[in-house]
This record gives sequence, structure tokens and C-alpha cells, in this order.
Amino acid sequence: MIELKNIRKVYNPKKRNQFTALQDITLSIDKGTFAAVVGESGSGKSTLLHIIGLLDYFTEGEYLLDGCNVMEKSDSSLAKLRAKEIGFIKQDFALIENYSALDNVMLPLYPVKAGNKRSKAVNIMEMLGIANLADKQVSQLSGGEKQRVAIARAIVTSPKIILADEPTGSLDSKTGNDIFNILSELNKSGMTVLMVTHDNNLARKCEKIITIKDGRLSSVT
Amino acid sequence: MNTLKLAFISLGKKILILVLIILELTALFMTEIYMINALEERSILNAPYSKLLNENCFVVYDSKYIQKIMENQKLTMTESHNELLKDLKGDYQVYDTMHVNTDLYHIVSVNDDIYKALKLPLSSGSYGTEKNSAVASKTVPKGNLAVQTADGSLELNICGTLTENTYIPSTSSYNIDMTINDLYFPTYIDNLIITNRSAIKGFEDQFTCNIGFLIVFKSDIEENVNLLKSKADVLDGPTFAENTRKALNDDLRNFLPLLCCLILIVIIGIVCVSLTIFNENRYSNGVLWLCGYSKARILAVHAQSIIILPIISLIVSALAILIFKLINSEFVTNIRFTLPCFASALITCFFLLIVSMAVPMIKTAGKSPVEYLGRSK
Repeated sequence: MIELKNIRKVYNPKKRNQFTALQDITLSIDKGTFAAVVGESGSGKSTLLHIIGLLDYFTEGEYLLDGCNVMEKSDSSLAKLRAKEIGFIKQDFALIENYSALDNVMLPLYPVKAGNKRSKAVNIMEMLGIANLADKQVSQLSGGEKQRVAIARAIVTSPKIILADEPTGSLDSKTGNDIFNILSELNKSGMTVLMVTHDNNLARKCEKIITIKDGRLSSVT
Repeated sequence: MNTLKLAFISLGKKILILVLIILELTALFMTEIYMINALEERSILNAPYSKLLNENCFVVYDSKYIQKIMENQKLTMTESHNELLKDLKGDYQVYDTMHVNTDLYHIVSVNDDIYKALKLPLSSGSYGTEKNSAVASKTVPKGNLAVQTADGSLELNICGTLTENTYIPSTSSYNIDMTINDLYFPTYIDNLIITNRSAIKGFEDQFTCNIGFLIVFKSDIEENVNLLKSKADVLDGPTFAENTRKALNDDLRNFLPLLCCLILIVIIGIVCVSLTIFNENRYSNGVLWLCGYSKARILAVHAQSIIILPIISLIVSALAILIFKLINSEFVTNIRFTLPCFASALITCFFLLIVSMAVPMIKTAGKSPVEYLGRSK
């Protein structure tokens, strides 16, 4: 499903502060995989996730998503793909604080021109047990509630891939486990889940562990 | 789309800057409206005469008539005009305004050609195409009207209603710098009727000519002009047209420095506001990127915040003009919010939007908005 070939990412190319974040990343991830991406801070884990999630551009290499070369697609096509096929969860939740929980969950439905946006968003929130938070402003929610809202937003378009960048990093262990269990359930329902984590316990629960060291793929176990 | 909420939230955080930019934009729009009204006014007044003034046309002012009256000569204006014209040679056409005050109405009659080309604004109806068509102030009801005169009943068909900021065709003054405005009297009176010459056929004796008139010569121009100059004040058409052009240029010259200054101030202001709002919304823009919004769409969301400003300013300008009109302020007596004003305002809004979007577009070019998620919210 996800195929990366010799991916290289250089920040500030041709400048004095040029920095190679990723080098020679060749990786294949099948549909339905639940993989953890681990490595030290600054090793390039988030960069890898951003590239896989079509959030950032890579400098060299090839990326095939479901057999399609992403380099051949326009910005607007990639944006639609991002909205439809990929759900993203971040450590700091990446929610718009001035919006309600429901407004945040509905956001990805606009680029894909979905109908019945409100009912779709409410259904997802009910599934995750947070329908009662719909009209609350995000700034009023707890960390666990915010992450659930972020997950609801990530899955509202029924994406094939969930990318989670340290989803439990800002949460206590119990809430973190709850979030991990939600991701597990999503994986069991057929979604491919890639999760960056510093938590080795959580990493061991995943079926695959991808280790990044100094911007290079160290191991896939 | 719920991203409009983001636009209002961003603007709500910067009330003082918002008020300042709206005031600047309002000043800009009002200056534009004034300038366009000045241009339109000239165009309206010029309309019936523009073709004439290109021909062998002269403005004649019977200045010696007043002298004759003071010498106790019993002479009507029409008789005085006839005296001016009696020795003229060849073919010529006189364009004059005649008027009469009946018990109820003040009736002004212009030549048929002039009436057909009149463009004085009407609040309703039209100038009509029939022989006895007329337009009138709002106190005169539309439809057939029988005006009683000493010679009988003058039948008119009132087809249109003049606005309150109208002009009355009337050549009542003269100077060598006179312009098209001097062929009109800028006033509104109740019970005013303006009609053509054919409508008053048979009733001309009831009417008095204005002291000035236009004359177009088809032949013997030099001889005829010299003859007229010996009896009256005469100004040639091209000089008259040139005076009008100069007056318009002076008007524009008065407006243009102010307009240019305002445009510059507004551009600087709106670019700063655009940049400030864009920076404020960096994190939100990063979230939109995460949710599958393309750069173009993110910029479109940003544009929503910016376009609200000129729209609010346009509404404020229109309201300000309305309020001034309601309190009968001289400031806005002849100001109208016409289609060209609206079009100009739209073009200005569009131009300002393009200019204000330039900096965010440059900032987002070649970079991924995912960087915005790394900054503080």
C-alpha cells in the first residue's frame, strides 16, 4: 500500500544551514499493518510520517501510494488524497481552539465535498463516546477528550491510513492506553496505522517496529 | 463554510486595526464616489450638446438686452433675439431654451434634438418618444396633463419624473471661461416640467426665451459671427468645449492627489493587516493543511478575512452618504451611488484583495504549511 524508494529529505537545500533529515529510506507497508516508528529525538520519525502523510515534500526518491506515484499528482489532488485517504493525529492534538469539537471533526469533510457533514461527524463522535462534547469549545476539553476529538476528525472521512505522531505523548498512562486501544480497534477494522512513539511498551504491542536512526532506516522488525 | 467563522474570529482579535483600516477604506470609497459623480455629471450635462459643440457652433449671450431695458425700450426677449438674428445670412439653427410660468407650473421647452439627447437623471419613467412627451418634478403626476394658458390648453404627456438633484436647461449667464455647467441651472423646483419644442407648437407666444442660446451655422460663418459679435457676446464652440475639458481636468486634479494618497495608505494598511492575520492564523492554517486543504484553499480561507474589510467599508460609505442626504447636508447634495460607482468599488475591492494576498502567497510558495504546526498556537 505504501512504498517508499530511496526517499531523501533535505531542509533548506543549497543554503548554509542545509540539513538532511532523511536519507535512503526504502520501506514497504502493507494494507492493514499496525506499525510503530521509533527512534531517538531528531532521528527523522516525524519527517517520515509527514512525507507518508503527504504533508511535506521530499527532495529525492519515489513514493507510491496504492500504486500511484505521488510526484505525478498536483497539489490539489494530493490535498484531496490527504483528506480522503489519510487521517493524522498529533501529540498536541492539532485542533482549532476557537472552534467547537464538532466543527473540528467536520473540517476534513469540506475538501472532499461530503454531504450530510454534521450527521457524519456526530456519528463518528458517538462511536468514540464523545457526542456530548460536540458543542463544547476545544479549549474547554481535557487532554484525553481533545485526543478523542482529534481521532474522530482523523477517521471522519473513513481513511485507509492513520498516521499518529506521538498520540499519547501529552497524556497520562491510563488515557494513553485508552487512545492506543482506539487505534488498535481502528486497525482491526482494516485501517493501516503508523504510530510514532517513544513508549517502548506501546511499540511492542504493534505488529511491526520501524526504527529510524540519524535519518536512516535502521531496522524493520 | 465554517471557515468564515475563522475569518471573523481573526478580525475580532484586532478591533482597533480593523476600525482604522475600515475608516481608511471608507475615505477611499467616498473619494472614488465623488470623483465618479463629477465625471458622470459632466457626461450627463454634455450629452445633449457634445455633438453640437463639434460643429460650427457658437454660444450667444444677448448682453445688450439688459441695456435696452434699462434705456426703457419696450422689448421682449424674443424680439431682442429676432433682432440679433435678422441680418444673418445662409443656413443656421438656433438651440434655445424657452420658459413660461403658468398658475401651477413652470414649463421649460428645449429644441426637439436637445430633448431627445437629455440625460438628466430620472427617478422613474422615461423621456418618452411622442411629440408632446415631457418629464417633470415629483409633484407633477405622470400621464396626460392639460396646462391652461392664455392661448388655450397645452396638452402634455408626463412620461418621467426628475430626481431632486436635477438641472434645468437654461443659458442665463456668460463669461469667456464658461463651461457646460453654465448651460444649466442646478436646482430643483416643484411643479417643473421640461418638454420639447414640438409639444408647445402654437403656444410659443406664451413662452419667453432665455437670454443666451446656441447657434450652429451651416454657411457664411465668419460674416455671421462678426455680425453677432457687434450685437452680443459670442463664444465659439471649440473654446467652450475646451473650457469644459479644462474644468473637468481641474476637478480630477483636485481629487487625484487625495485618491493616490489614500490608495497608498490603504495598500500599506491592508497588506499589514493581511500579514498580521496570516501570522496569527499560522497554526490554524497548519491544521487545515492536515485536514486536506490545499494551499489554494488555505489562501482562499485567508482571503475571506480580508474581503470582509472592504465590504464593511463599502456599506459604511453607502450608509454615510445616506445619512448625509437624510440630514440634507450640502456635502452630498448631488452625490448618487450609481452603477459606475458600484463597479469602481468592486474593482477596488478586487484589486485590494489581490494586493493583500500577495504576501501570504509568497510566504506559502515552495514551503509546506506543516511547518506551521510546529509553532505555538
